[in-house]
Amino acid sequence: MIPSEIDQQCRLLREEVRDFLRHEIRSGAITPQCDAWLTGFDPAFTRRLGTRGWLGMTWPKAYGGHERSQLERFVVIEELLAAGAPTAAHHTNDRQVGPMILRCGTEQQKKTVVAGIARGECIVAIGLSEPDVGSDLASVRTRATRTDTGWRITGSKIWTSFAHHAHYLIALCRTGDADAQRHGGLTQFIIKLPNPHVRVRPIRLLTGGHHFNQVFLDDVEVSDDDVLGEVGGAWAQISAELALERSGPERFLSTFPLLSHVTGAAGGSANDEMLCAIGDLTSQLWALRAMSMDVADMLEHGQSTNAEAAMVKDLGTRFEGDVPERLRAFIAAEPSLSSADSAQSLLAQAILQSPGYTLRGGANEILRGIVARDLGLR
Amino acid sequence: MSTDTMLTDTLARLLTAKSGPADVQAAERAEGWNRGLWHELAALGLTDIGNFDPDQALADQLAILYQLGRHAATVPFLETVMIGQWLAQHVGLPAADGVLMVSTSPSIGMTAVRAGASWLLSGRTDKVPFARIGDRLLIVATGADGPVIAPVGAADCTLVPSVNMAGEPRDTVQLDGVPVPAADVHRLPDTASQEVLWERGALGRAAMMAGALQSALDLSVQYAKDRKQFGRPIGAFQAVQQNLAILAAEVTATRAMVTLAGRIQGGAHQRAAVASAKARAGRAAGIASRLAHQIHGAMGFTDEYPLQLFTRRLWSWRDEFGSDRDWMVVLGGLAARQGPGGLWPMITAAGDRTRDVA
Repeated sequence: MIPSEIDQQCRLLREEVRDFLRHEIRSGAITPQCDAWLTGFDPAFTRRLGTRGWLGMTWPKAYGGHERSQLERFVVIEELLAAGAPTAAHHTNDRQVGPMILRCGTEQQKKTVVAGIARGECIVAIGLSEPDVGSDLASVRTRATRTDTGWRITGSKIWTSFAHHAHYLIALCRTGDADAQRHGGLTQFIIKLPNPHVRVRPIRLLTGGHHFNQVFLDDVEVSDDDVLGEVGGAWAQISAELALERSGPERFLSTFPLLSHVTGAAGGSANDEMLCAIGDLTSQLWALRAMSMDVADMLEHGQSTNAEAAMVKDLGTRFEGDVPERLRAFIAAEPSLSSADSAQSLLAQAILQSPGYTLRGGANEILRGIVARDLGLR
Repeated sequence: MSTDTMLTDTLARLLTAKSGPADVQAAERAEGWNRGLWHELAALGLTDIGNFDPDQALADQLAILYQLGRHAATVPFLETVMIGQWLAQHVGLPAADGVLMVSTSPSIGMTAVRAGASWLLSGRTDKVPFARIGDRLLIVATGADGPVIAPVGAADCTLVPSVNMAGEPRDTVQLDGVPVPAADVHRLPDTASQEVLWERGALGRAAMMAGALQSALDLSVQYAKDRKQFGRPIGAFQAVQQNLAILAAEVTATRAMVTLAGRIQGGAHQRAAVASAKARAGRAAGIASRLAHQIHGAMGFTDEYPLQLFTRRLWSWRDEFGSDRDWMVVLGGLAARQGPGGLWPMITAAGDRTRDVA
């Protein structure tokens, strides 16, 4: 297809998504929020997106996908994020879980889990981190041991998003000894939930919201069919998704609903001080979007983008935190989650969610280490 | 910033040979510009706008400016080709050899009064880049029916020399009733208004800043690898690595925004994109200069080490053709004018096609 046709196709899709979102907001079905891709858990909205074909957009039709381009997916994702739509029930499944299972899963896993995600009916929790593990993922201690019929898993996962709603848990386990790079001997398993040997304990956010959990795995029995990918090959499976995870528009649009609201309300009455703040933030955002699209473009051309993706996340997530810090000077009343005033509630959401921006998906200090490696310093 | 790799390769080789640190310092201490380099660029055909393919001209010129900034090349390419010759072409002034300067400024400080078959030009404009080396100056002046453009020979101008923080000429031009034949005086059209000329300058400077930022990063990385303290290269310390990573992100962000702004010129939001590019470059200039100097320690603070050639330019260029703050206010105003829900469509209006990787 020639570029102008791609342009045209994306423009039409973008308008279609905007019309849909306008209708959803006007009818009161959804309310724009900051950080809604993490906090806006709305399975009904997710199913409506599934019906429209906006989940699993790039996946094969055989597994419920729609075989559309990465660029079209990018359009849909960023429109949902910019509008502050509640996409938490599927965001990471659509971004990571589906592609990973498609790449290394079994036919059965693709037919059930992947197709379920594409319909918006299947929620998968990802069990990576553990107590005392943090950013050092290679040090996980949850262990899967061989049994006569399969594997027995024992250990605990922490910061597991939406495990209390999930139909499946993907657990990263140690199945062998670590190699010199500490990356060997790790295997992923898909555990069907609920399971009497899996206990989910809520870890409430500082807002009181229930997003994270600690998950206890006490002698969970799984079969060989539940292995995801290669035994001992989990490190490579996880790493392959990281560049996409880090450079996507959710790394700079989490507080955009606040910036959009304040800018739209400023109108002709704004003084230069306020316009300067809006212009500064807009310029940073515009550059970030250009960087993010460059990474997407490089990925499509098979180029390595670890450093570029890490830069998007480092700059983008700091920007997300700067938005409320800069704009609070121009919002007359105190921030409040319970306020009926959009500016006050969006500001409160942006501030209260801010500790997460520069931590999730790899703390920014770790990402800068990746950039430093690319510069030849380590 | 261009897909024309032959052009950029040739130019990079020329600049490595003719605009090394010693050449840049010599230019600053002598005439205030690198005359030899300008003649080499002319020999390549790069100092004549007529040699550029109109469909590719802006992209190629921004690619050249990026390279010039990367080598701190002290030549008036932006002023002569991208502003001066472009304006001359636009209003139908005959092409002429030599260095052509335009008295751009945010407010017009010159007036033009009709006197018989001539116009008389009077007034002053501060900080005209490289005015002292110009063969001709295009003077923007306020006439009875709006702004006009009039060519004036260098000999007719009174110049008060001045320089920016990088030692580049930024002279005051004074005219006291200089006559210009009426046939040579043209109305300044809306498509080449003072505002449009200022935008071209801002976009071009931002491209040069992207180049200078890249060099500040390259020097910093190399220094961190070479300089040993406490028995190992300082680049082995995480604290230094963190600063270099932040510096690298500023460089990448600026380059991405400048490239995007160049690509969408001609579209509905071209002014907003230029504002965004100059604002982003200005923000990066402050952060990157501070980090680059911190990494270099006292060595980077010296005259003999080349980092200062780039940081003094970044500190100067961020205020030229509108400061980052000026352009932030412009961009904020354009964004607010889109009304409720209008910011996102402005940012995405550029089209969804991913750009050519520079």
